[in-house]
Amino acid sequence: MHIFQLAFLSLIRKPTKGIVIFSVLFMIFSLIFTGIIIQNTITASKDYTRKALGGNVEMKVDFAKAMQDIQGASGETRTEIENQMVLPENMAKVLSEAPAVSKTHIERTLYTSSDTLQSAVSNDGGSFGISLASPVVGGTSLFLLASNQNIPLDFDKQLKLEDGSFRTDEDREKDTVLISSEFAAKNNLRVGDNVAVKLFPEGEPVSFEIIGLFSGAPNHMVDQFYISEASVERHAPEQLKNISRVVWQLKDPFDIPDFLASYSVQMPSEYIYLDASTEQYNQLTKPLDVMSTVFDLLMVVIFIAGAMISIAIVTLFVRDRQFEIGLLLANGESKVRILSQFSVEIFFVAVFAFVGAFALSLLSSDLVASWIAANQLVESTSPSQGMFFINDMMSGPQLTMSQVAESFKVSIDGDTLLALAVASLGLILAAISAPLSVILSYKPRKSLQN
Amino acid sequence: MSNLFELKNLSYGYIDGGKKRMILNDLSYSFKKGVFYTILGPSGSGKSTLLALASALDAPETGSVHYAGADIKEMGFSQFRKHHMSMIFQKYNLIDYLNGVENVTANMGAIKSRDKNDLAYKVLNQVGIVKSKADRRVTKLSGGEQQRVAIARALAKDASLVLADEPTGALDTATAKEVIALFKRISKEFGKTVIIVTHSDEVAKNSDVILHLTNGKLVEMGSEQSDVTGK
Repeated sequence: MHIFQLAFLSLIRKPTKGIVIFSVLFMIFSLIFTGIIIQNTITASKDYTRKALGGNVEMKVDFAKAMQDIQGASGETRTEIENQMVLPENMAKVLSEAPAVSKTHIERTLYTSSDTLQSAVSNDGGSFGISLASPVVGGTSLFLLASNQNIPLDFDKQLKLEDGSFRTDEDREKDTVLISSEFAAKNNLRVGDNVAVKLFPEGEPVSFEIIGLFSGAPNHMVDQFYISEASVERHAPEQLKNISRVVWQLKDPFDIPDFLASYSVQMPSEYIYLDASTEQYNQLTKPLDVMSTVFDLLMVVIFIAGAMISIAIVTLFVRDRQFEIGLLLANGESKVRILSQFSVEIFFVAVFAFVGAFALSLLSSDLVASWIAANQLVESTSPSQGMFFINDMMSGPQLTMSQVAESFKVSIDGDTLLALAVASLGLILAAISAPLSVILSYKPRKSLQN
Repeated sequence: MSNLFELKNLSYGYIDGGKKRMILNDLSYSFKKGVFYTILGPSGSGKSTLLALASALDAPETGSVHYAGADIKEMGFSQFRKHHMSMIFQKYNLIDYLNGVENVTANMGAIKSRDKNDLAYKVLNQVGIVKSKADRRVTKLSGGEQQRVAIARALAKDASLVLADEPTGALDTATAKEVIALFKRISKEFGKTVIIVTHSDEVAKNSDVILHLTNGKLVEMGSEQSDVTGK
């Protein structure tokens, strides 16, 4: 009789052992699959967070370090440190040629004031307790942000254009400005109107055409106008040296670690560094890292415990059939054939348990994704950051939790599945071989007597 | 009549209370083809050990077992068990998850599956197991029926040597008689050498040669015909 036929008949006609082994293996496989799914979901969540934070790398000044070094320094050294705190435009342009970079934002901040325009910001000083909207030099304080890009960086996430349009390349020869809707309302301005502003307190007023109105500006800050770098070049070229912000937008957020590693060392001074919201990313993903570590440990425990339980169960199963083995040996069956028949039986059950656990894992991946999205992203981060992350940084307020969960829905990939299958079957083969090799080493008479 | 099976200078013992006790002591005997032998002896005399060595279920400490002139050790114990001998046990020793016919076919060599079934049913019928019973799980059969299946399994294998250890020990008197008759048939009609280890005088009476295991050696009793003795 063929070993497959014998194995099949044994399982069908004496199903108890098969059910016991199936139950144990199904439980172990399910735990392992669920653990892998949770790990995959955590990885997906971290990737999602990285994407949501965007692929921006900013060149920043380490003011804290600079201030520390300046204290107690001589006048000459102090000047030297202050010179080293200037964001270098040449470095901005060199790194803009890097293959990973899709766009480079260079912004100059010009501080000025107006005697004729009224501030739209509140005078309560916001969370800082001071009012930057109060006239400092005289009149209304204004920040002019001059960008080298037609769409300033703040419109990427924070600000929203409500009326009008952004600059285009054709507007390069014109002096155009984007102002907040609140400022426009306060000063009775509309898109198409002109507004006269000095680029620096001592400068001559320049007439800017209002081409767009935006919303979303923080209400405690000074009124900000968004003008073009070309306007500064034309009317106040000496102000071009005041670079306030350099941001490189990378094509892929996952290039950030390599970008930082490659170019951080090229910064011109110890006070200039590259930042990619790493702190925010770490803060947002910290609960996920903790979970990942816990599940790593659990997986190791489950695998070891599962291996031991499997070996114990299979050993009992094989020992229970010692007499049958003796009988088969007495009939002249080869040890290889007996080992094959028993292996086929266990493999048959193991394959069912494996497939069943995998099917269950597809269902559990939905549950795990929903749970991660519902509990870890919002509740494990601080409320403001959590909500900011979900609603503002990704797709806007229309994003639902189920959509987020869908993004984290992961199943086990083919390579992992194959590796698990090979490991599991190897484990089962080892579990069968150990007791069988002992029993098969007996003389048939001993097996029959037992 | 030619010799089929030979035990040469077999010795076997075990440690008992720190001392070695020899069960078989330089035992030699030749068994002829187509003869029905019984081996008698008191409990502990080594009958089952002798049968285990003869059937290659165990190996002797010294000496050798020869089948058709060849040392079964050189032939390979499993090869000898698979092709040349059939073993019948007191407790039937059938595979409990198979039915009667499956137990018989599982023990057959390289025969086509359909032919195997036909032959198995035929042999089962010869030992008194009809098809309806042959198709039942062996656990659903009576003791006598199970022993018949075990005998059919030994017959279907078509080995020249049939060894049996107390084959009637678990059967009632009537069934035991039928089984003894079957062994006689196996020997006479099929020309097989049958060696039965037993306590039963009834079995011994029906055999051609009665051997007594005494002091680790086989001694022939007087009732056998001279042309079938092994000495």
